[in-house]
Amino acid sequence: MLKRLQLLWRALTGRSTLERDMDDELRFHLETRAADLVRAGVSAAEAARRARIEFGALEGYKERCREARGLRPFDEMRGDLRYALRVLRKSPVFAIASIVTLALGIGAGTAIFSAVKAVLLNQLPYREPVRLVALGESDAGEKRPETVGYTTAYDWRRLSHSFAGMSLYRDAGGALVERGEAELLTGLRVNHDFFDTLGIRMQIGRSFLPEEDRNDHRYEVILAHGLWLRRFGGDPGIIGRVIRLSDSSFTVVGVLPESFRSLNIPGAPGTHEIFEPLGYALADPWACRDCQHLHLIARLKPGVAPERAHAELNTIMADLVRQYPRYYPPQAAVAFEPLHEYIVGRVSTALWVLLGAVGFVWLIACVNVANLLLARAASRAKEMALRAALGAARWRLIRQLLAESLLLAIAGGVAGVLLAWWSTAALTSLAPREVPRIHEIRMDVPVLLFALAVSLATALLFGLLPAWRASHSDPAGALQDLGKATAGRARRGLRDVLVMGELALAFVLAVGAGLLGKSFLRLMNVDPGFDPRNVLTLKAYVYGARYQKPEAELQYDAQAFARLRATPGIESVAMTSALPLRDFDRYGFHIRDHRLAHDSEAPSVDNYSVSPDYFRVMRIPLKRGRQFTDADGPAAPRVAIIGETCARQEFPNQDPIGKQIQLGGRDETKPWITIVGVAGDVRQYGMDIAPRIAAYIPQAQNMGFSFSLVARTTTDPRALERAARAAFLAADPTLPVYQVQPLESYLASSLAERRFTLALLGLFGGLALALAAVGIYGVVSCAVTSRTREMGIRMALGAARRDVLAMVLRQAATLAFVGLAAGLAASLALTRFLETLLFEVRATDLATLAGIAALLSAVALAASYIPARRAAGVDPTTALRYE
Amino acid sequence: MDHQAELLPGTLDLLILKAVSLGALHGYGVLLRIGQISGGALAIEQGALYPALYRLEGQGLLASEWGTSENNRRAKFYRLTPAGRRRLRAETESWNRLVSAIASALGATQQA
Repeated sequence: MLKRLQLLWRALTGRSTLERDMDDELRFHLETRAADLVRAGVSAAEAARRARIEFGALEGYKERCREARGLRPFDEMRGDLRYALRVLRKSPVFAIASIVTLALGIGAGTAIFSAVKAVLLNQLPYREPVRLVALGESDAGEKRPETVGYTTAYDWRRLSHSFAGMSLYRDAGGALVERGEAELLTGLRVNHDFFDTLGIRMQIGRSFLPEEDRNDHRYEVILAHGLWLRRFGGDPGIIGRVIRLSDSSFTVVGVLPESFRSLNIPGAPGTHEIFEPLGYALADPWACRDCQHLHLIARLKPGVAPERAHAELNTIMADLVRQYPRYYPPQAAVAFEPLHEYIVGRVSTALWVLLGAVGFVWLIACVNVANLLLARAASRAKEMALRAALGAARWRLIRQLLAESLLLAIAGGVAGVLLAWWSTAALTSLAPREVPRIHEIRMDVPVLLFALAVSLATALLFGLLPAWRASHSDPAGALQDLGKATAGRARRGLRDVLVMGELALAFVLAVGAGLLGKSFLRLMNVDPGFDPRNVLTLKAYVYGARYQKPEAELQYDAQAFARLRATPGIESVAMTSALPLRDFDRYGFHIRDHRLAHDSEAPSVDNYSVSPDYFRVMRIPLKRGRQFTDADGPAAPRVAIIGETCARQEFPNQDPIGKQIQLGGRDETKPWITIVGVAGDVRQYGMDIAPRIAAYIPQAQNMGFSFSLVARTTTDPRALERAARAAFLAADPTLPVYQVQPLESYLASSLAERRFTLALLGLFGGLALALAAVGIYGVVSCAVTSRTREMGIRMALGAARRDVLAMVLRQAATLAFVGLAAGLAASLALTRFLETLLFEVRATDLATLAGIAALLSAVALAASYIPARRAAGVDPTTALRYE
Repeated sequence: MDHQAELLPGTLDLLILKAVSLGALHGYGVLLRIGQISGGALAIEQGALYPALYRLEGQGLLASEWGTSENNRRAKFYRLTPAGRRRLRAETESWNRLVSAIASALGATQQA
């Protein structure tokens, strides 16, 4: 055993000693044998020959000796790698070109994989997260859970048996005034069992108790770890302490662990730092069946299939619809989605598309390197033939060539991981904040293993074919053929196929990028219905007893407005309850002389409570009627302005001006609102979502909202952020001012995900294009070199330079044509996966396909023009002597 | 050449052990010794000797060291280890048993 270890050690460390010993031993044999033959009277030369013949295939026996030593795998791997290193060192340009190409492919793949893993594959940080689901009412067939009313959720919980827990939550906010500037803290109001449903334990303290989750009792708070450190110095004695939030006192009962990740509420940005009990009761007016504004998560009981749970809830919902037709539309059902999909579903298409795209880039990189190897194989044919003739087994040659590929792939992999390391950092910082879980991207062990696996797969993929090819050349033929230095037709054919494949892949990528690009341009050209340039927005958090009366808040606004109007650079100011692209508030839309069978069938309307100047500040055109004025006060008759789509849909072939409506529930005892104007449509939810029906009411006639400032500026709104904040703080320093930012930033973030996907896909498309160009250049240039003599003959026989140029370009054009045709077929099959990412562009958009085809043809021809010119510039006399 | 017998599989190892048991030999010497003790009746391809030597050394049946040959050159000499000696004895016995069993089997057929 010791002996064997010793041998192993020697084999690993001193391979060359063992090899030299073996060579010495065999040489001794041959020479002694020859000497014996000489003594028997044979001539020296003949003796040496006879000795070799009697010995048999020397290389083959050497192989078997190495094998017999029992250390062959280590031994040979070392030998192969060492030899490969020597070979690669001798052709540094080839090595560096290959490594850079592979690094790009592997690096891009690893970076995107790390994002896919963090966002899509990693489990959510909750206990048994696969059993968590998001639920919501689906009034018109929506698949994605949004909101639910308190009483509806109460019935679901009461009547269902599939769930171990079901918890409601909604947004919460509170002004923390103690120490320093008033700060708005955001968070959630949650059912007392919310953290149990998620399976989260407090770091210190406890979760809420059932008796703390009542409408007459809501005085406890749980702090997020970050807030606890930031505002309370990580004081472990915080439990039991009373803190003031807005105007109320809350007792801290628990602090969440640092690892806790809250559930984001769509459309409510911000980190969640405070958690309060929900505190609803069935009797509360906001607990009604059609008061849909709460979010719901549930945990499935062990062993209950999601489909069964969903079916159970749908049955319960159908019964509720029958019992309470007043409150539910007849087709109401339950939207049900695993929590993981609910959180990341939005970006998963984009990420999978990107992963597919980098897969293509990686394939192209492999093809390019395989092409380089094939080109080299031509010049190494002699070496291979000699080694085969000397008795090296075919698979041995394959392994030697694979060792070279492996070395290249590992080097490329290491460089790729470094690239990925750097680019994931860039990815995380450049990615829109809207991408869920984006900050969980890490280069961790699984990602590194992925990179390793990809590197090995790379080595096999680009190395196996050329190696097999090279080792299958017939030794005798190859040795005879050495004088010619022209690659065989079959070998050239293979390279042609590879380049065509590469062009096809590049084509698909470029088409993908082109389609996204075109969608993006279309989106940029969409008229949002307002002018987002030079508008500053902010929110003030108004709370407390002082502001119980609407006049007080109007007074506060008026004071801030007075200061703002006096600020140079601010042109006009207004307030709104819902900023485009950020908030929304929907109500039932009831028309006085159009009674429906059930009030629940009334359409939902986007509702805005705005101050009179709103339309002027936002530059929303008034199509008919009049604007709001200061005369539309609390005591004046109630008025509304509706959007164009609303006018068209709800009052077809009628004049909406003068018609009377109600928003929310229909109630004949309440005053009706008279329509006084029609305004242009606004894209409230995004440039890619058609405007819905909208209605505006004067702020003075309904103050029951939180308002945002919109201020039109004459300069860059960013320069006025400080002044705007100061104007509100001067009016009341205890009210936090937050989300001070230009309106354009909402537009930008609504497009951020698309921009991000487009940028990456564009980058990959460009990379693919460049690699494909290099590939086609390599093939054409190699073909030209090998046909130099032929060109010479042709020109000597009277062919014009133009003819030679045309001949070479024709070859390139054939490659490009076939490649593009294959690419076209592939993109027709693949671009439908892009459909959800497109906007007003069909996945088979003809203009894009044609444009990309033209672009790729141009690139292919440009890449072959250089070698073609070289061919045409050949001096016939030189060419004929060329070899 | 044509009256030389082909080696049965596995017998080369036995012959090598036997050749080396009579005194340390280098590879070429093993070849000559086998030729000598078999009276030139066995055909061995010369190169085939070396993988066998390496394998036996790897199994610990042979030990090797570099020395000086009769013609004053550096050569690698093989000798039998105690394990090799035991193996040779065991293999010889089982070979003899095999041979006599086969011989009596063939003899019985003729008598019948």
